[in-house]
Amino acid sequence: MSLGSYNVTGEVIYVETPQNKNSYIISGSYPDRYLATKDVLINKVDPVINFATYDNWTTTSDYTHINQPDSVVDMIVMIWRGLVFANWWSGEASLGYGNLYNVENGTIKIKAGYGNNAGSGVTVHYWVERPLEYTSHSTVHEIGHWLLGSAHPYGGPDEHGFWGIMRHSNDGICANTQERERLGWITPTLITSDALNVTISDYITTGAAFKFHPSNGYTNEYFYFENHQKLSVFDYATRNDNDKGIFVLHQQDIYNGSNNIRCKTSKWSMELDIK
Amino acid sequence: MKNFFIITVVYFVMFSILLYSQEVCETIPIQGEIINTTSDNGIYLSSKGNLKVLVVFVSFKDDSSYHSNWPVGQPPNDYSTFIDPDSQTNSTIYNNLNKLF
Repeated sequence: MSLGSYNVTGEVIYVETPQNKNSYIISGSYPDRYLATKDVLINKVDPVINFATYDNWTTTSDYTHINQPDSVVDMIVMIWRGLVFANWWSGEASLGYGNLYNVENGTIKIKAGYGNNAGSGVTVHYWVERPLEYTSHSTVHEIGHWLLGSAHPYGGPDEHGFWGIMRHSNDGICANTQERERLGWITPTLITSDALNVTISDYITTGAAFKFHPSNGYTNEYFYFENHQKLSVFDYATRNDNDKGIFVLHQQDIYNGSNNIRCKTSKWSMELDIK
Repeated sequence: MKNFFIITVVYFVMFSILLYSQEVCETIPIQGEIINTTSDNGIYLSSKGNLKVLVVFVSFKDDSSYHSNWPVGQPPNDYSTFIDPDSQTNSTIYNNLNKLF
């Protein structure tokens, strides 16, 4: 999606919790996520993993990051077998909230929250009757909250067929033009006059996209045009391999936290009268 | 017969709700969060350069439930391709985090 400008690499490890599930239950029927995660990271992962490898960035303020360590782990993805902490969610952008704790003999910190300098990772439920594909989508979505913010602009009662990092894990997870542009991964071509007989290369593999700002529209109103030819297995705009062609995304304005109708797609009923 | 129909409908509705609910992200919106439309970087993490991620697959010690994609006491199927150790590995597996970003 980033065409090489963002390299997400690392390692995987499998462990079991030090204690049985009931040992982490404080109240109710579900174990406490913070306690279980902390126990696993300190007592099972720390002895075999060098956490310093995962401390490479310092965030000085929102949108400002320096490529140097700050003694805090940048990103751990905790993927749990089954819906162990609740049966109504598949992921969450923190490690359970709570106080920070130390690993690597006290030299590295793990933060359990989410937001500016508040956390060190995300939590994902592996809905095990589904293939690993869904878990990877949930993981992309949760890390996506660290990149794009906490809102869910494409969900809720007004939701439409959509694709994007901030969609649900069962939908198209490939980043849409608006997301890729915001993250500095592509620069869509701005249409400022008639665009006839224009060729658009495959969106996923080349990053080609067009955007158009209606002259009488809102300040942040854009139509985005993507050509999805399903040339890549990572073209998850839809899960149907035959869904090829121009996909149109209409953003009426920046999502305001409640009005999902601000974001529409060509999969939904949309009237286009663009000149 | 009528009761059977009602039970079937209720079961279907409940099953549909359950299916939908498990797709939900639990992340709570941060009050007062300001989206900068002119920035070309991530808000809480950089969206440029190299991000090293530790992926921990974990099961409870006493979890013996059957799951088709994750054997008891073992890592899930295909888990080793979940993330590449470096950008030169260049995996093309559908679940690879490097390519999904």
